[in-house]
Amino acid sequence: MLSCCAAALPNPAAGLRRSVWRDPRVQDEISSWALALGTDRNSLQHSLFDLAHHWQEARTALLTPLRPYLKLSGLTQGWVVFVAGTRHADRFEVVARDDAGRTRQLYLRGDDEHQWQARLLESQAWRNVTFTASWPDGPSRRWRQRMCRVLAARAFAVDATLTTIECAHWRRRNAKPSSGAVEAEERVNVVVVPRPAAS
Amino acid sequence: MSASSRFAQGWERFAAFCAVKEAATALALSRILIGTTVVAHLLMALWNETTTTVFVHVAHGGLHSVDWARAFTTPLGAVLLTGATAACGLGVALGCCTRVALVGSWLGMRMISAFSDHAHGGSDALLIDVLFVLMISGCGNALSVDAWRKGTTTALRLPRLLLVFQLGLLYFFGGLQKISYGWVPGGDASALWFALHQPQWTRFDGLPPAWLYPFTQAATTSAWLFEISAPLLVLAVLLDEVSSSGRVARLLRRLQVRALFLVYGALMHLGIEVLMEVGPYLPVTLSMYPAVLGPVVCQRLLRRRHSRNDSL
Repeated sequence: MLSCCAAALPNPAAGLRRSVWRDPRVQDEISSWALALGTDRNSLQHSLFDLAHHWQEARTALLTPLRPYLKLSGLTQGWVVFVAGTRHADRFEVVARDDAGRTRQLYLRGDDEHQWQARLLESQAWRNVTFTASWPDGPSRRWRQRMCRVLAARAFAVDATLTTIECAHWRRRNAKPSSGAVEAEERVNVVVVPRPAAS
Repeated sequence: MSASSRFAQGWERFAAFCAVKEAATALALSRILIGTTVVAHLLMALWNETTTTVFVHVAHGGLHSVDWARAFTTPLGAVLLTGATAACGLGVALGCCTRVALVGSWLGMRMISAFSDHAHGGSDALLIDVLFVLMISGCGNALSVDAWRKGTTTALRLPRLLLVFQLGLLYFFGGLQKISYGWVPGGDASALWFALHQPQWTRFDGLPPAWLYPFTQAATTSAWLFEISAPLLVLAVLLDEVSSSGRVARLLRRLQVRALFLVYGALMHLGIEVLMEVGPYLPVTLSMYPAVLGPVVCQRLLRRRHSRNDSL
C-alpha cells in the first residue's frame, strides 16, 4: 500500500525538458496561472521548472527502495487523465504523393471523406500514439517517424504509383464561447517517408 | 503499556481484521467484469490491427522497440500472445482454473502494456493493478466454475479492501495531478470543455455547442472535488467494516458518503463513455465498485435479480 501511494505521487519526469515547456500547450497553461497569480510568466516558469526538478529528485529517492517490488508486481499508479485540458487540439493527417506529383489526402481524423485505415487509426492505441507523437520531445519524434513508416508500408503495398507518404497534425487553438471564434488550423509535425528503393 | 506491546496488540487486531472471511460475491463480480474486459479489449485489438502493429517490434515492421521481446514479437507472435491472454481472460471471467487464468492474464497484459509504450492508456495500467489484487484473492470462490466444482463460497476480506484502496488511489491522485488552471476551483473550469474539443478523444465530430459550456464547467469542478475527496470513501468503507460508532463514522454514514460516491462515480464514467472514446476505462473502473458495495449488498442485489427472474 505504501509503495502504491509513493508510485501515485505526481510524476513530472516526461515533462522535464525545456523543449516540452516551449510547446504552446504548456505555455498557455503557464500564462493562465501567471495571470491568475498576478506574476510574471517567465519567473513563474523558472520557479515551476526548479520546483518540478526538486520534486522529481525527492520522488526518485523515495521510490528507489520500492522499485524492485513495483517492477515485480507491475503496479503503476500514474493517473494522468486530461490533466491540462489543453486548448490546443491536433488532428492527425496522412497524405500520399504519387509519381505524377499529385497529392491525395488519405486520412484526416474526424473527416468522414478521408478514412483510409480508419479502423486502425481510430483504435484507442493508435489515438494514444498519434497524441503522444504530437509533442516536441525526442521520444515523441521517434514515435512519429515509426508510426509514419508503418502507415507508409501499408500504403506502398497496395498502390505502386505512390512515391511518398506524409504524416502531420493539423493544430488549432480552441476558444471559450465567450472569447470568439476558433483560430485557423496550422500544419505541424510533418514527417515524410519516401518509397524505399527496390532491392 | 509500552509502545512495543501497544504496537503488537494493534498489529494483532489489524491481522485479525484482515483475516476475516466473508462471502466472495463482491470479489467474484469484480473478477467477472475484469475478465470480460480483458477478452473484449484484446479481441478489439485483434480486429482493429493494433496487435499486428503496436505489439510488433520495429524490426518486424511494428512500433515497439522493447529489445528483449524482439525475437517473438513478430506479427504472428503478437497474435499468439494476444490470443493466449484473451483465453486467460475468458478463464478469469468464467472462474475456470481461476488462479492460473489470473496469473496468465496479468503476465500477458503486462507484456502487452510494455510493448504498447506510448500506445497504452491509464486503463491498461489499472487493469493490471486490479488483476494483481484479484490474483492474491479468493475471487474464484463464488459465481465460478471453480466454486461450482469445489463448493466454496467465502474469501478473505483483505483483497476486497485493497480494491477499495486502489479505487481511492486512482481518484485522489488523479485529482491531485489535475492542478491545471482549467481544473482547480478558482480557475476557469474549462478543462472538460477543451477535452471535448480534442479530436483524439471526442466521440462526436464538430465542436460542442456553446450552450454546453456552463454544464461542462459544473461537471469539471464537481469531478475534481469528487476525485480529491476520494480518501473519504476509503475511510467510510473502513469505518463501516469495523462497525465503528464514532463521531466521524456516524457523520459519514449520515451523509451517505459511500452511496453518493458510487452514484456520482457511475454517472461520471457513463458520461465520459458517452462523450469520449477512452478505451476500456469504464468497465475497468467499475470492476472495483462491487468491492465498495461489499458482499452483503452484492448478494442482496443478485438475490433480488434471481427472485425477479423466478417470478417471470
